[in-house]
Amino acid sequence: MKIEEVYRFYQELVKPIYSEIEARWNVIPVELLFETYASFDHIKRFYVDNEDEHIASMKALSHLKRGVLDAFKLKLKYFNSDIEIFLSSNIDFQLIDNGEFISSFYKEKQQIVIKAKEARLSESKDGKEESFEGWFDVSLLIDDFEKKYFQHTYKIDWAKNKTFEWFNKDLSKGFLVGLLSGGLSSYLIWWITK
Amino acid sequence: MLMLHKKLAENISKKIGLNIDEIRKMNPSEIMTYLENRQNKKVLFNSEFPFIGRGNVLRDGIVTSDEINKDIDRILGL
Repeated sequence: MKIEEVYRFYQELVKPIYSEIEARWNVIPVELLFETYASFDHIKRFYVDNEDEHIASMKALSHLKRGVLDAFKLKLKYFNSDIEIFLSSNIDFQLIDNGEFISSFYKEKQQIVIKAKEARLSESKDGKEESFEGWFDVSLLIDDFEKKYFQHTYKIDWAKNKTFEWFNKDLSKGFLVGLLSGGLSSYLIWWITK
Repeated sequence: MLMLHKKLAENISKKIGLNIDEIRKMNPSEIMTYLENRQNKKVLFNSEFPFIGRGNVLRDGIVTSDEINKDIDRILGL
């Protein structure tokens, strides 16, 4: 292996995938950058310390691969956090499309988890390279999921308003029933004891 | 050589607002400046340790890959 291949991997994968993570909230984790730092150190060993090019390249590439896999895992972690926030709202999602919305939401989320499990397991079984295809699929599924459920919010806004409306109706009804029954029981007690 | 999936490259390009060749050609400082101007927000550095980043000498200890992957396995129920 040549040093050139390390740079080609950096150009092909590291830059776009790191940029995606960075663009999410304009934040980049130092751990991702540290992998490029470590990779740079291995390249230096070829040029300055006369280390064999193949060994230096393999080690340098290994750090870059680890960085990209970490970026995929971070994407999954951020996705998981978004799901938790989404589901922790008080919206009654069953109202959307007669429950079909939330049902397919869970089904598609589960597909992502299954794919991520496969990618994760292939990572430990077959070495890092083979698991990249799996993580590409996971990443694409996350993109599709976010587009479908998080970006088109009109249905969610509608359900939010309905949930709030119904909650208020129920609250008003409850208050009225409480008031009437309280008045009635007071009247009955007064009537019995008069 | 491993190639970035075409559709994934398109998605990244849409999210960032630059085509994939521009992302590859711009240096990290140029990308950072572009993102700061686009979102009117400074790019910051955070730490996702120990979720990622093993053996980082800037940290207190060396953490094995197994330990690092625990969190992802918890999310995946593995």
